[in-house]
Amino acid sequence: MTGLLDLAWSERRALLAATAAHLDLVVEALALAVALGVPLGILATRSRAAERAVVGLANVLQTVPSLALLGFLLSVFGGQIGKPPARAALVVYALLPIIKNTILGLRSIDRGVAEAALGLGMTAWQRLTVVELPLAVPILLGGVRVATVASVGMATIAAAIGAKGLGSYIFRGVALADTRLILLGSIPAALLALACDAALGEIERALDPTRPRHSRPRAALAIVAVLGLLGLAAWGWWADRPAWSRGPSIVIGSKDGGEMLLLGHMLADLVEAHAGVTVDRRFNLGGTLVCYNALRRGGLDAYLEYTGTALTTILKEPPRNDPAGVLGRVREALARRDGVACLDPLGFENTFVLLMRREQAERLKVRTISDLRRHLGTIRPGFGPEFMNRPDGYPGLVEAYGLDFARAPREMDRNLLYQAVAQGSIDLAAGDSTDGRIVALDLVELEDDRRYFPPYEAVPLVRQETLRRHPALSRALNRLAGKIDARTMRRLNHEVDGFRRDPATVAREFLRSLGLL
Amino acid sequence: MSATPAVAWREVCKSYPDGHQALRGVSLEVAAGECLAVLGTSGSGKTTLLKMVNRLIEPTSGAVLVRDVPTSEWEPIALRRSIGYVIQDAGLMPHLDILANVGLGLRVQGRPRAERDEEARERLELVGLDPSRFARLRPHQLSGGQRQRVGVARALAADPDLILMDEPFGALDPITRRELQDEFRRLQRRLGKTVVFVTHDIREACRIADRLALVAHGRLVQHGRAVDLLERPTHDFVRAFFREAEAIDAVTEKEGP
Repeated sequence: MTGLLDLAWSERRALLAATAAHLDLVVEALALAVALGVPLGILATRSRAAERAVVGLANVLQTVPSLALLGFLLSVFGGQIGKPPARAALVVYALLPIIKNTILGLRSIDRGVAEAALGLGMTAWQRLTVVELPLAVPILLGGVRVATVASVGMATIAAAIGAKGLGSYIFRGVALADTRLILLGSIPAALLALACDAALGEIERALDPTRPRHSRPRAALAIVAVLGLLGLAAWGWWADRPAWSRGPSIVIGSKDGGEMLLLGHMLADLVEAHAGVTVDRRFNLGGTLVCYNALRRGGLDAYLEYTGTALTTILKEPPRNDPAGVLGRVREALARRDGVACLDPLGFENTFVLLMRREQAERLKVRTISDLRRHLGTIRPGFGPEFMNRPDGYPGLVEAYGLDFARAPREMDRNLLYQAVAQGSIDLAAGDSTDGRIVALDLVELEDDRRYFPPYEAVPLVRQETLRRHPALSRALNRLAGKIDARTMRRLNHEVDGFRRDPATVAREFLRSLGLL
Repeated sequence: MSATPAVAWREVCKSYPDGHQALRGVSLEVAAGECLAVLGTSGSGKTTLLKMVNRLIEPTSGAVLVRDVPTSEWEPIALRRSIGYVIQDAGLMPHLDILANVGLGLRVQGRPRAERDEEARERLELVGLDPSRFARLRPHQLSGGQRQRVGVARALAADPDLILMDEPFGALDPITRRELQDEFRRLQRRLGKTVVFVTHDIREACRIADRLALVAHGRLVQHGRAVDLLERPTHDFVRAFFREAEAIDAVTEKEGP
């Protein structure tokens, strides 16, 4: 727990900024949802058919799984990452409670009051604005309250598409298997939800004419709290305001995982130091396709990718075994197809490796993957879901080596595999050749004697248009070319995964040690 | 009744899609400055009759004339603005203070604030509420009787010549009700407003109205002065109505102070 407090203290500025960005996202989304939901709710009270259509639509939207919705909105927003699609997702989920409570509020108006309004000769518009809406406000606000609390939670997921906020801590915590980071994101999010709930509760109370007024000190406290939350949100907006109101800057992204965070920080640091451009860091994005689509359509200017992943996942071509050929093919195809430049490789190759406990591998005399064939009846394999399904993963491995394991592989999260092998709950795992845990847990990698796993080189992908706008960019990024071999990468990863050090700090130290900063 | 009636119902029928017939051909007139009580049990059609005057309900056939013009030719908003309307429980706006409630009819007609506040204060005094004490209170802070006084003040705010009242004192305790009935009667005489007053309480009707119209099962059973109805009832139903009232009076007199 002290570890958590220390971390929170050292992160206090970033944490506060993340909280502000989080709140800003929620406030903007809620404002939009109210602006959209209240008129829809009013419309729904005008006719049965309208109500069926509106409530039906809101219900359907509510049931769309959040990741599917985020993915869909990413393509709607043309690959733009960050706030716009995240905000849209929150609006979609906030609509239902707001619409429903608008309808409920308008329907719950006392019949005598409604009749008196008619009898006074009010027009439909006057009845709505002078009587119905003001009286529906307390119930309507109840809906806003429900939607707000849910949105504070939902907004954490938006980190997967690069929205700033507390979710980035949670995703980083998951990527680095660091509980402290997860708590660092979750606890403020929970507190924020409680604060918003209480603040809206106070507003709801103040607007309800039949409830007694608060004492002055309590009313003042409530006003200060509401203004404080709005101020925090405004600061969050200011810090993340649209690019047109800031100096020259580019957006660098990264996929999830410790290695990607490290390399992302290195690229960003180099750009800031040598190209005179500020960098908006959108790290830990949810996967290859999120990053690449954002890059292709202008939401990102650069991120780091592996050539093999580009070949199989982006270009959807079969895996190949010659690194130079893969790089050439990827470079040519991405430039021609999408206007994306592929800079020079960083040096190391990242590939799948099969891992065993050192003690067991020595006892069974297993040195190469072929050696496994002597122990097919007893070995207990375990793989991650991606490896199980990729053409250059398990299916091809079985074919290439004739590995017919007697026990079906256990499928588990790839971040848990290393620990599982080390503790003996499985005997064989597929991991990343550069993962620091190979060193930390004293695992041995089996030689790929038939050269089955294609070697993947790490290369920065940059939009050609961005390179034209910032001519110094490609030189700045290429300073890292050939500077990181597999051993170095493994050591750096171990700093982050094993010693739980901050990827940004480790990246900066490494660049300084090379004299690049 | 030689002068133009303030309100006239001509062979008015109202039936609903489910087959229910609320009114089966009612003809009736109210002279200007007169107070007419429409008397009947619940479900008799008396409220339907009233709500046709300000077009809250439209007749299926027949016509309702207000100031000699059929309601179908009145623009509903303009018609309602020219008629005061008082309902049971007053129907005050809980989110507005008393002054705003009384001035609401003026507000929706676009009258400036200072003017409508002044008018509202005047009307509050008229119904016996001290503006300096009540103006800034909210409806829930008032007693039922006070709320109904505000309801009457609101109906008078735009100075209409015609006022419709739908069981306005029905939810009040007997003492408050009696008090309001007497005050209202005096006020009506003084201001000379035409009033159509719906009630199921025959004593209330006798106390307030110049004339009574007894409605049952959607038909007009008998109408005339209270004393005519009492002395020359044309229908058993009329007799029954009076007998009931006498029985209650007998009981209350025996047990009363």
